[in-house]
Amino acid sequence: MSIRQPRISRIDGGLLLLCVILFTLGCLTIYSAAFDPDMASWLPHHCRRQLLWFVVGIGGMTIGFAIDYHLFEKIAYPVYALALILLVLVLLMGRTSMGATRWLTVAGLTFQPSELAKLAVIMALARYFSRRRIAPPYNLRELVIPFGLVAFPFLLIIRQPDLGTAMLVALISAAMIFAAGITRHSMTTICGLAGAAAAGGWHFLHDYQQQRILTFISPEMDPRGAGYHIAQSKIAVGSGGIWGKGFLKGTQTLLHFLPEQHTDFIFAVYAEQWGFLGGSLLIAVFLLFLLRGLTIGTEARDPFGSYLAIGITATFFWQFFINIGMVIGLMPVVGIPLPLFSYGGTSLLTSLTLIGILLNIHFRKKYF
Amino acid sequence: MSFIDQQTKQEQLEKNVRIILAVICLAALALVARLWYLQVIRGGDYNLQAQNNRIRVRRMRALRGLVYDRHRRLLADNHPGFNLSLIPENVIDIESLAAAIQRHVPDLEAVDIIHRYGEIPRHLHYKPVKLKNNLDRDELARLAAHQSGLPGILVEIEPLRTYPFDDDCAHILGYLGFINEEELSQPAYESYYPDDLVGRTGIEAAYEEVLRGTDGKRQVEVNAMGREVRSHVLAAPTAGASLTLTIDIELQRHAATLLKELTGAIVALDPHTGDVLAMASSPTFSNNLFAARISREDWQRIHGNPLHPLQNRAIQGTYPPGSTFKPIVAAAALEDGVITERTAFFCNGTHKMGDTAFRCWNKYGHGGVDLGRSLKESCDVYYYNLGEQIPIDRIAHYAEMFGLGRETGIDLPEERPGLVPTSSWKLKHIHQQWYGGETLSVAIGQGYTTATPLQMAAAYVPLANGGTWFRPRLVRDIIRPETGGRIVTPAAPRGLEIDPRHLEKIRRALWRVVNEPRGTAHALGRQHPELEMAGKTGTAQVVRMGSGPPPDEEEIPWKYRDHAWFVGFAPFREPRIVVAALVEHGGHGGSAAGPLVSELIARYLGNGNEANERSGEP
Repeated sequence: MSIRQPRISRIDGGLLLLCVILFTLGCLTIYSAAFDPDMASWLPHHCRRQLLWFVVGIGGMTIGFAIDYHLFEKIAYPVYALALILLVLVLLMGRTSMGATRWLTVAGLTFQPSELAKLAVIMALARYFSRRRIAPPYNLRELVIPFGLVAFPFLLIIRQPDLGTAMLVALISAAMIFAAGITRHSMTTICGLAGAAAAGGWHFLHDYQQQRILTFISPEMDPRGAGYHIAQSKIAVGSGGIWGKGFLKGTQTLLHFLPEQHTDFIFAVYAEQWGFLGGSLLIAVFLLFLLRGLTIGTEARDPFGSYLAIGITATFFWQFFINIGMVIGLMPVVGIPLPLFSYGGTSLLTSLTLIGILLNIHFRKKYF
Repeated sequence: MSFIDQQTKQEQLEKNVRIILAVICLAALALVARLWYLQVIRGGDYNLQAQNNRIRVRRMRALRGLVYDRHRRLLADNHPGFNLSLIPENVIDIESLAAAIQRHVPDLEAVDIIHRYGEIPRHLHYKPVKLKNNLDRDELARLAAHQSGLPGILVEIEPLRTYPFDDDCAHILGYLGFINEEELSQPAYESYYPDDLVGRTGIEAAYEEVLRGTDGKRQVEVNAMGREVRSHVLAAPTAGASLTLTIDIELQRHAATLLKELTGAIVALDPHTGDVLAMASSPTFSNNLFAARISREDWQRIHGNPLHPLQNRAIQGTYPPGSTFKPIVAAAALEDGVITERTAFFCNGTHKMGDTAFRCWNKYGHGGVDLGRSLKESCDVYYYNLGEQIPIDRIAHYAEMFGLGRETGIDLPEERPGLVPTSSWKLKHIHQQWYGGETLSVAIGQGYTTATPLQMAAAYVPLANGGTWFRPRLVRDIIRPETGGRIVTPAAPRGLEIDPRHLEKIRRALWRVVNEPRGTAHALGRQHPELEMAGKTGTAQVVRMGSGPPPDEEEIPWKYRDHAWFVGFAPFREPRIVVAALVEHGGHGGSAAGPLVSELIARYLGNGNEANERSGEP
């Protein structure tokens, strides 16, 4: 017989602690990015807003935690359908800004349906695999439905065009399908097809997207635009050296050489001040955080919980890996923020809500 | 779901998660390795770059294209202009510096300078802040003399747009203005920066895209103090294309001089191409005032003038054409078979329609009047008779054929279309039926009918050349400076669907106006018989006159006096120029506007060889 543990100890304290550490470091870095020796206010505008969003995010986290996640299993398909409808609506009547149509305005509030679509695909795949009656690993024919579940939102998001989010949806889904089980033969085939599609898809990319990829390959081509971002970002990170220049002492940051230094390029601000040691430490903290996520996945009460937790962990992993990779010149420049770290309300709210769901799955696991 | 299912799924999951874990660890390791490479192995390099070589890209402004007249005389040029800037980081004592600046440049207030200095964030202290554009000679001299004692100031040279002929062709060339924030956010102004100048009116606005050129880029390395260390050109700027206008600046200046004390406009066209030879509007303004930031007093002086000097009356002033409209009605009547050349009407000074009496300007009457005399002596009763017989919509049809009622399409912004009334127009805009009596007013160029001086000049082009209307044009060609490539604007002719024999009859009558006794402009013919000018006078009523005899011109207050028109062309046998003149509140067309036209034509033909040789004038 299992001994009922006290409820409070079933909350994953480790995960919460890592989350608080990441957010705190993020806030300090945002502070240093906005820092100006002659500053009038002790708390810069961006910091104040980020803290405010954290409070809102705690609300989201509580909701994600409090609702029994099995409800998500029941509403997975309706939510998925809603997300698809919104994606179609955004193409028909969305707000266009800088050549892309990504925003819908409902009752005065503007939001991006592709954010919801990410979660909807995770839930739909988790539900699909948890109810599947055939034992894994699956071959290509058995994976037709999950591929379809991914393909619709993927194509709709690409149409906006929002290449970054579309790739993110594809990568998260790939991780989930892999976790659920796929035969080795099928995997080889898919990798081959994906490679061919990427080569063929080049012609369908917008000029600015092609430009970004070309710039990534050779930054010297565009010293003003994206190449300038990468060059300046590398200088900031590299000049941090082993020990870093110290808190509030990043010269590149202070002189505003970095573009978007409190959002997408926040890691460069951090690495300039804390050096290789601080950078590696931050990566280690993220690694621990992902490890907790995977563990919650393997320990979940039922397959739906497992798949859901893995999908969420994959979301964090890809954002983390792509963002840092971009800052240090391993990846092309795409507009993906560093979760829990970058300045930005939507991103913080989404991240904290997803962590709430992870805590939720952990809370309801089997205790022997 | 069976337990076995769950079991296999769980096993499969745990196995795959172990692989995922390995992948994640590898990815993290890759990131750390890259950090090691950037920060430890190449850390020194990057540190040096951060300290010494901060690369920025700065813009190199393109020179605006030049504008020439038809004989390649420069109308719009770029001169070096001197701007005063402040470099905050070099300032030692802002208070005394600001006081010194105010002493040397009286426009600038010390308090404002100190306030602006205080608002600049510290990290932008290396960047010059502009205090004043286009210093004048005295200011420049005073600053140059004291510059060494004023650390923190910088005098920069930037191209400044100048117009050598200033107010003589300000309406044609237009002026520049600084781009505003609202425009900057629009896609059309994507490539513009704050502080850029944009064409606001005239040629500067119409050919903005061509004149502007393409900005270049310069890569600049700045040291830790923000100073430029080195720079090299990434892309050289391309100067804007230059324009050759159709106008003749000498003729243009003469037109402006003729109008000097008057309010009105003169337009001169080449009847074989539609080229605008001159186009003046009065009162005028100095477009050089706009090239640097215009001072508040100057702006208020121009804007507060009740005569609106910024308005280009040649294309934006719409006036009833008065009797200058009669040749068009005559053409309509001949073409529709209402009359022949010999059809005559009797004029006793008034024409009755129902209970209303329509008066001829000559209260004693003209007696028996045929087509030729009707134009020569401008008999109103003759045209009242035509107005009774031709429906308004037919008159409108011919008026539109002569280019009235819509923009001529000249290459200038904000041209006004004027108005050619039709019965359906009146129903739509005034919600009333058309009355027959109104056609009588239209027949003598009054009533709702309005036209711009440019439209009237263009309408007389087919009368002068025998039946071809041309869209007036101002730019003859566009020349790209770097390639020398030349884009020529073609002439845009449109043949009138009117029997040339009919037009010839009207043409001859217009000659009689000037060259026969009792012609309304015979005074001009007596003065300049050598010009062989033809034309038509016109008087446009400003206020509808009541019954009773018309009062003396001198007794009417200026603003209620009639507008005076004259449209003429010369030489009669082979016309080389068509000129329309309008003088607001000038009174009778023949005496007020006529001399402007004959003087301008005399100048044009006098400068040409043909008239010169014949009259033997220098």
